[in-house]
Amino acid sequence: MPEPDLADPADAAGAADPGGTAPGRQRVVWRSDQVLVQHDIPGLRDLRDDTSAGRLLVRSLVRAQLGLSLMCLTFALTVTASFPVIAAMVPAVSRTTVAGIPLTLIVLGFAFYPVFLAVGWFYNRHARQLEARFTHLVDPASRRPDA
Amino acid sequence: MPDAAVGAIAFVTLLTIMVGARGIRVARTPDDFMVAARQVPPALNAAAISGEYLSAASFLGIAGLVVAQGLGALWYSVGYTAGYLVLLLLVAAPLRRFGAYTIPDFAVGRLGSRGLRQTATALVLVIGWFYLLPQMEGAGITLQWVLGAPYWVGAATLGVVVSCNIAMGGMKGITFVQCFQYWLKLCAIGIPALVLLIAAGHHASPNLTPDRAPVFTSATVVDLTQATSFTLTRSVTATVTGVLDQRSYRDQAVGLCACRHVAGAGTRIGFAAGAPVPVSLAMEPSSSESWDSPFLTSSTGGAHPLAATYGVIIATFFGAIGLPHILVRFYTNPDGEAARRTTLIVVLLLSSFYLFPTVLAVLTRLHAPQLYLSSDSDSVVLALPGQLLPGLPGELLAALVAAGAFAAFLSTSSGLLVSVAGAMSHDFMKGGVATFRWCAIAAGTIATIAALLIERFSLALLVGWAFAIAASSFCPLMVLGIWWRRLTRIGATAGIAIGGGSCLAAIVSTMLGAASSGWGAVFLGQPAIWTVPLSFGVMIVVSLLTQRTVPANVGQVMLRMHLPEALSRQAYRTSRL
Repeated sequence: MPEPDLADPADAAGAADPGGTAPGRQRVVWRSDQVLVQHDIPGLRDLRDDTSAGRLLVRSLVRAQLGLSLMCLTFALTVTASFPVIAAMVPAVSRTTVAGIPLTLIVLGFAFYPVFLAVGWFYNRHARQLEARFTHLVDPASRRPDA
Repeated sequence: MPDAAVGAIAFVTLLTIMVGARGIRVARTPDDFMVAARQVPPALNAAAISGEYLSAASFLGIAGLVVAQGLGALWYSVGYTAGYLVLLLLVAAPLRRFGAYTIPDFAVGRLGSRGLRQTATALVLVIGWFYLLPQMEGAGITLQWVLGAPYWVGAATLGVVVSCNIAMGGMKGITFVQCFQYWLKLCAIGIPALVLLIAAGHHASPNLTPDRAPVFTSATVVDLTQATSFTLTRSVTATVTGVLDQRSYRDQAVGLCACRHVAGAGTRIGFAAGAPVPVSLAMEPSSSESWDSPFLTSSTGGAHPLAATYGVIIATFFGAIGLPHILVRFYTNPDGEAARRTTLIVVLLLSSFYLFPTVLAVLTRLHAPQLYLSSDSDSVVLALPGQLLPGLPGELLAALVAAGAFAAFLSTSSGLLVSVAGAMSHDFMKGGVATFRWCAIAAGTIATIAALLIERFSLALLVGWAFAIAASSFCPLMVLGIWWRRLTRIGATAGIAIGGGSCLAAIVSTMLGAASSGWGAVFLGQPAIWTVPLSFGVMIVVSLLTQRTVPANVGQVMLRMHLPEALSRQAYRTSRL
């Protein structure tokens, strides 16, 4: 089985800079044969060096992404998982037929799949926009998110 | 029985062995995956994921369960698809950016702990074996139906073929093969479904009307090839030739009471149109819910249908995240953005596939209710083509279904066995390729022997249980690991061990017949309803109590998982030393 180079970036960042580089300019090893080079985007340096400003930035991104995910998840779960409760409270629902086909068959057999696809498509689109906005915030020289 | 089916199964199996033999040197090092990563477009990768994911339960199990238990069993197909939507929303892109190949790798990379790795590896083995069992069982049922061979022949054949194939080099890492498997499975279930739908024609049938036991839509003669015990819901007069209830008849009209009957092998019973359909023991619904009820009560003996249904919903919606053999496929996406696109396409491909088991199940109920006399709900899909299309066309369609089913067993069990053998050899024995081979053979043997002992459980049920264990152990680990920086290794280990352990204990006690009614049956038969919240809860509480052990590098790891590619490419603009 393949042994991934997982520990590398983590170790290098956690191991209090054993290589003796200048303070505040931590050298982060990405893979054994690759090194991180400095790039003069101020926001990016904050992120990488884990300054309080950088930490705030990352937290805002993670929180925004999580909010979007939970919103989509809540919607998808409400649409699907409410069906058994509705059917239990209103027995007429599972007795209903549409053109001779039981409503249960239409809902469970066919109707949920387009909902899943729509939610997934919506999420992908908005997650991409969120990331583009964040990129623009950190690196104003990057392509504008709405361009 | 049909030669065409035997030929088709042999063809699929030989093809797999040949591809496996050629693949000995493929994809063993991280760099092979890195090379593949740049070449696999999302559509191809998505088909490969779906090919590995669609298993015996999807192919035979769901349709059979719908016929026997009712439309509520469709929650399984809804849940298996929704599992990928949940995966997309919660883990797809960060997981790809993190870059772990296996769940133990993720656990250690995120939280850094040896004890955690061993707990996670143990759970990989449990889930992998649970998921392997139904594949072996499905193979046993398929060969039983095609060849008339005993059940163990098919299970042992699959076990030997897959173990040897993996030991020789395996079909893992060959994206194209898994992709081909998806399209093969889609054709093998889609073409029969559409042809039979056209062949059956459109005429009204009373069998879809709510609250009705199925009736014969036309005069039907039922041939019982083996001794069958069946129940009638109403008394009826039928023409019997052969042995029935220990009396011999020869083309005589016999009044049958609404009770249990036993027919000898080779008995023929003729029913008039409108007569109630006799239901064999294996096809009897587990509850008094009507066939069109949206509740799923198999495995809980009909107790508390609403709670049992939510048990299945929780297990399947959150189980896909924790399956051990799917994660590595995400690594072949070039970046997080591509991982999201891939996952959305997977949802599309799964949605398309799952339309067809539904069609086959409804066709059985409408036009071939004599299949309620089957000895096994999982063989319904195999038998349907022959019932609706007599002669050569039916035989060819049945061959196609059998080949597709075998492809499903082969691809899923190969992927699982690679994960299980890899976990055994890599995490427990620290071995190289030779150890991996022995582990593959050992794991395959254990799964085959176990499969011989669990013949009486439905395929969809067994796979649902594998999902329940995954949902109550690895799902909280992945979700909290990605989104919650205060997770600690002690919290994660406790959550996996307590959640996964209690779920496993509940399922094993159900298999041993611990509780068959009331709340006990629900909590033991569909344990996800309490073990998933329990696992999340334990992980959060224990983590909060052990905040001193939060890894020091959590900020960097979170950054790595969540930083958009446009920035990480700049931040980590790389140069060769």
